[in-house]
Amino acid sequence: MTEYFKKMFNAIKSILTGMGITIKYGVNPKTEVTQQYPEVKREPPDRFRGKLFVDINICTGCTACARICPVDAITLKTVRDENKKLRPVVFDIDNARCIYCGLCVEACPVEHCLYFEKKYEFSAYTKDELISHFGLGELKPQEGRVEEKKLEPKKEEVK
Amino acid sequence: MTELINEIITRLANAAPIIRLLVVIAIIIVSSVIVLAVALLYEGLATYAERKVAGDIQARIGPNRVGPYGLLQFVADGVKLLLKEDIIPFYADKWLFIIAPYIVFTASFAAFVPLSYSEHIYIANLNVGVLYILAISSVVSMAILMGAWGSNNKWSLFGGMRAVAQIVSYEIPTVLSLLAAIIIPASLNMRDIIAYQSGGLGIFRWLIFNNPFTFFAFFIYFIASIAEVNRTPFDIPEAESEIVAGYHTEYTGMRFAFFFMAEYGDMFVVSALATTLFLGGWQIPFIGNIVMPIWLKDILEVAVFFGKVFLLIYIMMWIRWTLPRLRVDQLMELCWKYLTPFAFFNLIGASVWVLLLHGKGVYDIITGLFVH
Repeated sequence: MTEYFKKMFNAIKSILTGMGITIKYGVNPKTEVTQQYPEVKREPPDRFRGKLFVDINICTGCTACARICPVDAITLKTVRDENKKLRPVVFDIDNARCIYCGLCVEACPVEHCLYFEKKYEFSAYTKDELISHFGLGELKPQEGRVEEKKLEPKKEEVK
Repeated sequence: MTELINEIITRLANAAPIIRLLVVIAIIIVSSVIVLAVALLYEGLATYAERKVAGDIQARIGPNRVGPYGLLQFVADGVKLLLKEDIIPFYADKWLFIIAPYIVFTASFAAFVPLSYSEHIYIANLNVGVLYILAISSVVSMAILMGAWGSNNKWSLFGGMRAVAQIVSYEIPTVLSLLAAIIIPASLNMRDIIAYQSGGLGIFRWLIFNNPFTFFAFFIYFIASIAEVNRTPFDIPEAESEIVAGYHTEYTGMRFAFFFMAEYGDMFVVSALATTLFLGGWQIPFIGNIVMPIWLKDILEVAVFFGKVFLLIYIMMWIRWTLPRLRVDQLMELCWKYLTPFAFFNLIGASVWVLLLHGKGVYDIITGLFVH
């Protein structure tokens, strides 16, 4: 019989303790910890893997990134220019296929050439819009020298 | 409302019988549409309130995107549910499957009828009001079993059987603790019960303060009524982590919404019953016999009634977001080993109190001491 009342007393006590804790949060609006995403954006951490970016002007066209990519997300085409240097005419990264493994970043022999940006908002309506184009464009055969203007990397088409 | 209808009918005494019939039918349809609209608005806002309370308690914000403060969230939810595909399983018992949500909703909606919202605002003045509510809300358990059986799904059937076992078991402490209160005004009429609780600053003659037994009966009733409406510490009929969604696993779109709205309707009804029987109904506290216009008094009374009901509903939500779900055996143990014996004890105690003190409450006895 004492066991019966003891059980009942314990149940009431523990229920009231729990409800006392929840009501503190229930009536106090300052306890909210939600950051409302589109208005408040969190700064991504230092080693955040966002969208891939290529600094095409210092790219040597070695194709190490395209060869190591496990999902074949990188399409890379190179030609030799008049200085016998490899020129990446096509450098497409398919963000829809990228798995953000970071193998290409590790494989890249040039310091700070292929790296992850902190950008993570690049959703699009079609898969084609998700491909970012970094290539320098085809070299016309009759052109002896490439003008400085054309060496500028194309702007990313997707925002 | 009844007086208004009687008035119209007596004025039409000389009209042709067919016109009188049509007028009566029109009155019935219009009044039920008004009540249905109010009930649906309440049910929509209750789902919004539930999500906001959940957000507050879990240190979140809750819905805040649709409309100001997210107030139109329930409209968006309703539109979404209406646009959903209406799926009836191929092997379902179609007749039972289709009719079950309507019966659940009708039963929970019909329980609004005998409630008294203020001295002059009520739908029907039933002399068996409390009995009517208890009877009509028992239909819900039958309809739940119909839907569960008709779905031809093992989760649904388990959920339905659990629901019936739970509702039928918890009906006993509910009714016994209500009886402990009813024997004092000795009436089943909601308006008589509220009228009995007038006076005493509008608080101290509430039946909950009438004697120690009704005080405990209120808490037993409140716990048992949470189980009656299948809310969280007792939500084993629809326990998501065990049996998907219980008896409404196979329901989609508006048919599911009927079950959902019936739950919130039942919450209102059990809270209103607790308010009427234990917490003085629409008696305005502290103002005594101040003379005021009838319309103002009615508005205040409605506000007081809804305030008390919403306070009880808030407590139900607070309990829901605090306590974990009981196991089936724990649920039955709570009902049969704890609530039912105490409810019987309360009933006997309250009966003896009424017999010995001729229905006088604690407040009457204390004020009686000062008078002599």
